Amino acid sequence: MNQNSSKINMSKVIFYIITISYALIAIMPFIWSFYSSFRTPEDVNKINISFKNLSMMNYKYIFTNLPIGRYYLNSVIVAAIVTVGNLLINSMAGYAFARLEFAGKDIMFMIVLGIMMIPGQVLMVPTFVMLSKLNWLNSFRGLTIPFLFSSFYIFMMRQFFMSIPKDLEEAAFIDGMSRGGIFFKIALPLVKPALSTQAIGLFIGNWNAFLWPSLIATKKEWFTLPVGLGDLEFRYFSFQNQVMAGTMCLTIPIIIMFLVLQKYIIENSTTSGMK
Amino acid sequence: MPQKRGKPSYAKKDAVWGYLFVLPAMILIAVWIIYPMIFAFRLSFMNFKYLTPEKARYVGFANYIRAFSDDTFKKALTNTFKYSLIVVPVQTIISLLLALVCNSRIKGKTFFKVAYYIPSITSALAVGTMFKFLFNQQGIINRFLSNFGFHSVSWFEDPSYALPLCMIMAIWSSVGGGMILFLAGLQDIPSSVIEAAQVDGANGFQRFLKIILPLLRPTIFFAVVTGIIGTLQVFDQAYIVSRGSGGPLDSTMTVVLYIYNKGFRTTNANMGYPSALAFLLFAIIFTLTLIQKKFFDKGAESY
Amino acid sequence: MKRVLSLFLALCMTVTLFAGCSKKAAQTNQQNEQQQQTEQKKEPVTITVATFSDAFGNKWEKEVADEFMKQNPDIKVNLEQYPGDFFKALENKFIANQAPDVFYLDIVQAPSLINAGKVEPIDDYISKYNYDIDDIVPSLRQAFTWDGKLYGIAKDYNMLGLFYNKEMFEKKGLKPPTNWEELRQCAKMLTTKDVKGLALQNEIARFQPLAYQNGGSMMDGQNPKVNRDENIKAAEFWTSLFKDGLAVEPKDIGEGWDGDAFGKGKVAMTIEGGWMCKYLQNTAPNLKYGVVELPVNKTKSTMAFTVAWGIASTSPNKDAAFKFVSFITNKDNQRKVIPEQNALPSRISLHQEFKDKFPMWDAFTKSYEYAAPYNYGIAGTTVIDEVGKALEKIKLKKSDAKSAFDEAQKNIEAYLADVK
Repeated sequence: MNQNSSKINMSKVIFYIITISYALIAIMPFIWSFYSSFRTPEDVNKINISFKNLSMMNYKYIFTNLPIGRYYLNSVIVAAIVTVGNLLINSMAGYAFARLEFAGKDIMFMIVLGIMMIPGQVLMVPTFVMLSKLNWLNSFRGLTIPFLFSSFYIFMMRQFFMSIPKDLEEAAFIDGMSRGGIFFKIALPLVKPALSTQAIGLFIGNWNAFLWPSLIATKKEWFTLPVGLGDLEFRYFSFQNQVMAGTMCLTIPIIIMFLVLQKYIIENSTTSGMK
Repeated sequence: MPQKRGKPSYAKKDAVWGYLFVLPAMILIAVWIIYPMIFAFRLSFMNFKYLTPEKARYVGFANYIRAFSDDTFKKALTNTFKYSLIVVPVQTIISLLLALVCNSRIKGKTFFKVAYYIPSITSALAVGTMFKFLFNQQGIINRFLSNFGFHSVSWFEDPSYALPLCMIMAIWSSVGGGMILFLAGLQDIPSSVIEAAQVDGANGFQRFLKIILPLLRPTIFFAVVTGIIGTLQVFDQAYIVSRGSGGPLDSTMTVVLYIYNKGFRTTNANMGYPSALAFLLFAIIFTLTLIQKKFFDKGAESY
Repeated sequence: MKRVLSLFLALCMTVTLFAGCSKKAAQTNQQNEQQQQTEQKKEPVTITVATFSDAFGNKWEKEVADEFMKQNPDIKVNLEQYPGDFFKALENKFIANQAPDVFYLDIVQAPSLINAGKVEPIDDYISKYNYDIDDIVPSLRQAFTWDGKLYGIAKDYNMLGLFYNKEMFEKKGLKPPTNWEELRQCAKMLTTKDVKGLALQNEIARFQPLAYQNGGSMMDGQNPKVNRDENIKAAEFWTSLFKDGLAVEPKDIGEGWDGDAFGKGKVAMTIEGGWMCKYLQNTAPNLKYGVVELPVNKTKSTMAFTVAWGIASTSPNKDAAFKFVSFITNKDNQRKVIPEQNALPSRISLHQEFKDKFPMWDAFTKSYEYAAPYNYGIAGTTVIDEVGKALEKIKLKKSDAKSAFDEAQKNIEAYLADVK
């Protein structure tokens, strides 16, 4: 007995050593970037750690030289619209593919999967031409509408809807509830963890998106934050300290957002299914 | 397969709701993906340059045939498969382990969750800088390895190490996202089951294999399928490590990087050939996905 | 099943038709606009001016544009700043028939755009408006000349020079090298356990001057010809510096680029452009360094990186566009960018002022007469990639210089055959 318990303690210690060291490896670059964002251009490339000469000057530079308030506003509006739109559209489609029977379902699902498999690069130019013909460049329409769905999350939602038990839905149906009602009132609450996962992934993905916004926005008043911060990278070189400060302006809001949302992934287990 | 199961009485009305539910997604897909895709597919049979479309001409299957004698493309295909073969299992397993850790009774759960997720939101630039710092010839990794008698290698420069470097980068930055996915998946399993099967010895591990893994099947299927689809289209890591060239000596040349270099690095390039390569890749991934679906479906009639 | 499929196809076709319609609509719109423009001649014309988006340049451009509009009330300037990949963005604008009237014409991209007929030759406007083109550095005029016509006026430019660490040189009692043999000798003397003689980025954009110094060239008229004997010999010399342990690439020692390797004193010399002066001033303010012209072999050579102002051939307001280009490249406006210390003004008459303000640039103002442009015809990027690959192969000892350059030439010709 005694031996057994010390064995468990040993494995616990090893478990903690491994989990903590991996956590350190994972956050190191972020901590380093955070630290670098307060350094001078002279110090930023040095490997030593010193707390002398740290200052807010890089942030001051960004906030005085770039219309960063406008960039934040654009980013928040775009990411919010895209996230909410996606949550609704993907969840509905995912539910239909998981639960409802209709002709052509398999083909449509294969299309949803299939379009993930074509390298986006070859669609770039025709899509850009469409956007310009529609006169959607430099507009919220152009920045949001083409991105209101995601094959990846339709597929994910399908998988999650498949894994919850059907009993509750069937009972509700017998009580006379419509499919729409069942979806919104019963099925969706059961997959809250998946919805949070989707929301986090979508929001962060769109918050960081660079390629498409940089094609659609060609005037500074339409730049999103990552596009605007791209200005810190000059043609021939960039100052790492400024770039790092820019990166922090981009990253810190989403870390906060993640801290808020991650609770729903974990602590909602009581509302989730299997009671 | 749905036909095998008896249809409940309410199935008739479902068709209407079904179309209603998929309609928004399908319209968006048709407009923003299928339509440009048809256009790109047409290009794959042409010699076509966007700036001078008046000079375009049809070349039949020439672009596809050319791919089969293109050594760089073959090299890119080999690299991409190697990459996928390593990255998908490793990232799936690590993601799952991280999810189990965060779902266990570990103290400071939030800290671990945030720490493990942070690589997924750290900027590519910071990651690139860090990897240059860690993996250069005199870098920490080499110094560490030299303790065990390994020779120092130039990861960025040596054709045999540049691709593994891409793999490490990819795994490092993707496991956080996978962890979030598996955490959500684990929520559908009652916490008593999970606690019972915690990784705390051989017995626990066996319980994990027998209880948790089968319950996670739909999530794992999703992670593996999207993992393969994603890794076969790897672009970013190869682009960062080689600064877009696919070097050293094409060792980090991937299919999508090759498509990009053929079609987009030069102004007014012939778009026919890269389009054909894109559809070849599409055909390969599509076939692989169908095989996987068969494989997973067979194992689980209930899904 | 079939029904759904056909339904879906029908949907796709509707979308296609819809897109087709909007195309027509856009065309008629354009025609209407043009008609309106001819009808109401008194109304001010609007020209769109597209530049890179960056934190500094855009402010200056805005000031110049405001001043220009004050002086020319009949012309309105609409400034656009393309973020990210400017070349891709500009090409896309041309593809969508929404090209800006005036735009940055990059030296590498220029031949492809010109060859596709997208850029307006400006010789006629130069004589019509009596523009003092002779003050623009000749090699920069040459760089934007295609089939004997001039297509752009250089905005500013940068060249390569040899940067050396003064302290290291003084310690060994060395003078900066003036020819290849001295370069090798200096590198050898300065290489120690912690310091390498040279940092070299193993690519055409640093190697090319050596090929030209050796009497070679990358071009044969408007077509690339990279596998000349002189180039191959130069490549052998270049890669021997790596093989003998006298030179490193920055990434080998964990640095992003030459600027960091040199700034941190990890190397004694490097071949870099004028832009590095400003970088070093900020990141290594205490470093004592000098810049000299690149060493000579058979002849002198360096290379010029530049961007010009171009006018779209589709622009309906070419006169207004040229007026703007001529205004933004005049002496007063060019002078305003000097304090930024990013690049040399393309006007010879401003070189002295620049040098007085930034003495470190002395070597650069001397070398403009023999600078070869970073320009390889319509296969530009392919030449850059292929020569880079060849240099890499030789450095890694996977191939001898001759077969590596022959292979590069073969691939470049294959590319040209594909796009012609």
